Amino acid sequence: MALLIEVNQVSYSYPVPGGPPHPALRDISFQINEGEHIAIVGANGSGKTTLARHLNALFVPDSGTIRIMGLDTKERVNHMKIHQQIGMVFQSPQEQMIATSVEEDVAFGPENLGLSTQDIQQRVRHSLEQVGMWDQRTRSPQHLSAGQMQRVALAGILAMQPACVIFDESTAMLDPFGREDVLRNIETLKQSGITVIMITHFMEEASLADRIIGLHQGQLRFDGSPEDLFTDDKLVKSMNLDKPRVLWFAQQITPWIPTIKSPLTVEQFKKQIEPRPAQQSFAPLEDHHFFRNTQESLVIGNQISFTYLQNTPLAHQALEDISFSVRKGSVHGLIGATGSGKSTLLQHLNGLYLPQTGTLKVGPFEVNHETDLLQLRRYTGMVFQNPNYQLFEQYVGDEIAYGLKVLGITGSELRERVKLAMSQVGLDFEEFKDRMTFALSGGEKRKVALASTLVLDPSLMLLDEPTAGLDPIARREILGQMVRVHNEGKTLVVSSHQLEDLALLTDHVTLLSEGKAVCTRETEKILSAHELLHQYQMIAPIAAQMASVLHEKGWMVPENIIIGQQLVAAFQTLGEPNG
Amino acid sequence: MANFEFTQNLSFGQYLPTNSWFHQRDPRAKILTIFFLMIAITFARNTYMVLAGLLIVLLIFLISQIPLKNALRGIRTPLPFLIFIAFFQLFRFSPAADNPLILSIWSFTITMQGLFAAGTIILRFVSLILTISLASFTLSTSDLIYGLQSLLKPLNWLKIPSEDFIMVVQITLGFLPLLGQATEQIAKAQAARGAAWGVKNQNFKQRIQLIIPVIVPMFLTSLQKAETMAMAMDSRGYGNHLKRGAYRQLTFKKQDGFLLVTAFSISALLLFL
Repeated sequence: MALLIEVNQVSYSYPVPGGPPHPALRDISFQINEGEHIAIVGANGSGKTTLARHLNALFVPDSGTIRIMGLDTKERVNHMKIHQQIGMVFQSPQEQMIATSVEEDVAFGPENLGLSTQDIQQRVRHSLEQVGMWDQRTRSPQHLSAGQMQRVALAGILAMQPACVIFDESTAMLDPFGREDVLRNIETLKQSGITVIMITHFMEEASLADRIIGLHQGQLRFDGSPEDLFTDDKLVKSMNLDKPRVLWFAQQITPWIPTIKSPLTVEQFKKQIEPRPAQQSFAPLEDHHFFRNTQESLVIGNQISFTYLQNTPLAHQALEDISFSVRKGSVHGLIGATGSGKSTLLQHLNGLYLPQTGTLKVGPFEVNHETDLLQLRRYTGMVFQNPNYQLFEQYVGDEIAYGLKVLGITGSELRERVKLAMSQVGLDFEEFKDRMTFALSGGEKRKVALASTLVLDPSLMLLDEPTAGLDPIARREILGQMVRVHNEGKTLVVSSHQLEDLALLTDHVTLLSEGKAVCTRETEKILSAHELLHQYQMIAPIAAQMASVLHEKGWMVPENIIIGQQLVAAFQTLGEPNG
Repeated sequence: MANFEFTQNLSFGQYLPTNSWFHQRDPRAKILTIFFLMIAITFARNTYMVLAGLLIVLLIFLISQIPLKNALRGIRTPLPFLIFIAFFQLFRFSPAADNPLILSIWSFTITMQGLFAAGTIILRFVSLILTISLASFTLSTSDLIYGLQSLLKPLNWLKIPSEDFIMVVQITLGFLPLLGQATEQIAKAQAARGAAWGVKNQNFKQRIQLIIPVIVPMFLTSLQKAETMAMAMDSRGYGNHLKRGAYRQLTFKKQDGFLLVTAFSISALLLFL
């Protein structure tokens, strides 16, 4: 195999105005051969993205050298060749769309290569067909879904005929189907001999690679196979990472099924289990969950409909006849593919949008044109999807104090309430109050966003994709905060693509599809209904997938298992494994 | 009514692809046709010629199979301003032998010529607005970009980098929705924490006070977005000083020439008759 990328003792620091530079990469060396599939993992802020940007010469190292097919990235004359050979799909789909139609966006790269019109047209067609977007070629990228935009972005890179494609957390903003789509495309790329480098927070995705490069605080901590990394508990922990959940759960049931040998994916898990000659039955699942919720409904929506840009040619119906209710004191989940109306529905609950038809009752408020919106929004706090766009003050302290200042609260009361809210989410007041919001890590931004809502002490909290883009540790922390907030007596409505999270948090889930409410049921009933989920473009939590694999093999575990602990508990009811 | 639809209000070019004969013409011919008509309507001295210009614009609407309803929607918003301007035209002239007096209130006089002038100004503006909406209905953004690129090429002889200029236009068109979205997200985030967005019965001052805190973070997030975009462009090889290729090759056919010559002669007639 020919050598493609050679990284030799590379260090890089970001300049910090008025301070010492912040080292992002320290003395990193490794090599990548043609045709390899590499995953780069590491906690938020470990230098993954910085490293990736060095690999296609967007950044140039402060010291050390990087050679791409023998070309030094320090030489500007090599950049054109390097950009053509190493393509990059970014995290945010929208910001990498350059032209005003899909086909012209894909043509952008080849145009820069100075190719003939005929060549460009051929390449555009070929690469759009490869990602299945040729029939959408004349549309504006702005009107596509996030998943479709990522496909167009990939096509734009394929049209440059690269030797290597880097995916920089390209799946972080996508729903499960969008993510599978990207993974399928990666598989095709591998088969055609293209080198794939993917940066990801999903350890399940990283397990698919041939080789993992692990970063921790700018240093290379690991370079080897996924099996070697994930079976080394100490190493994984020291890098602030997590094992793939399949491995986690499988290791715990290995005493009962000894053929299991550290599977990293559900596929591997399936292969490692021998079908049982006779079925092993299990006691039905005990109700481990204890929910304080009463029969009283806090939110009642009745046939809510909403159309964006009503009465214009661009009108787009987002909600259609939605009826649902949320019980007081519960954690209620909203699931559905991208564009199913989850965010729009959430934004109705605090009056950012008002229902155009139907009725909506939130706590003591009837939400309509007569509602006192200020009171309603004080009653319902909302934490938005992307923390980057919801933090607007310069300093963390001011950010959290914003809502209180609007209410006219000042002085020591303001200070105390900010302090309390920060301690609720685990941010130290003295350490964080004067930090710049823009310089925080992804997990810290979420915490600030959560604190800035908690500070107003709302009775109902709305959370839109609270864990998207977080590393496993930050994700666990945020989930923990949400459980605490719930235990303090608040009602939560959470929308998420991460069914794992909802399995842990919620008691009831409403499934949305194309603006309609398909059903509202107990979480375990919906999240273990594989066919139902599949029909509406979602994928069951890993524990549920493993349970259904076990079922096929004659281990008749309870069908409504959705979290790993239930799976382990089910096996524990069998007693100590014999032999 | 809470309205956070900044993004969609910025909908650029409500392009209506009816695939009519006019739509199929070379973008350069379309751009020039619209350009000639606008010059003619703006500078035509004779009221009848302005009227003729309006009829020609409406004729092109007919040819392009665009429902007039869509066109008229664009006039509704500026109409009060037009009437306001026209109102002052009414009193512009003093009565004379060839300019009969129609009405006189105190020392203000409305004359025949004044009435004519008021009519002309409304006619002129309505025609211009219709021409502009015609452009947006029949020119896709890609038409506009490739057409302008080709038309502005001669500027390169004067050492003016027309391609860079076109890229700026293209990026701006792509960036506006992003800007709208950033604004929307920040306004919503502030509203959710108590800012009085979308609350009824606010006076003008209160509304302005709401907008100011949105502006600074909006610029900050836009700068961040712009940086990512620049990086995406860089990584796809933009700015390598090679000669850029083109995805679309424009071909100028006989029918395009026919359209251009007709538009040019009609516009000349409107101007000089």
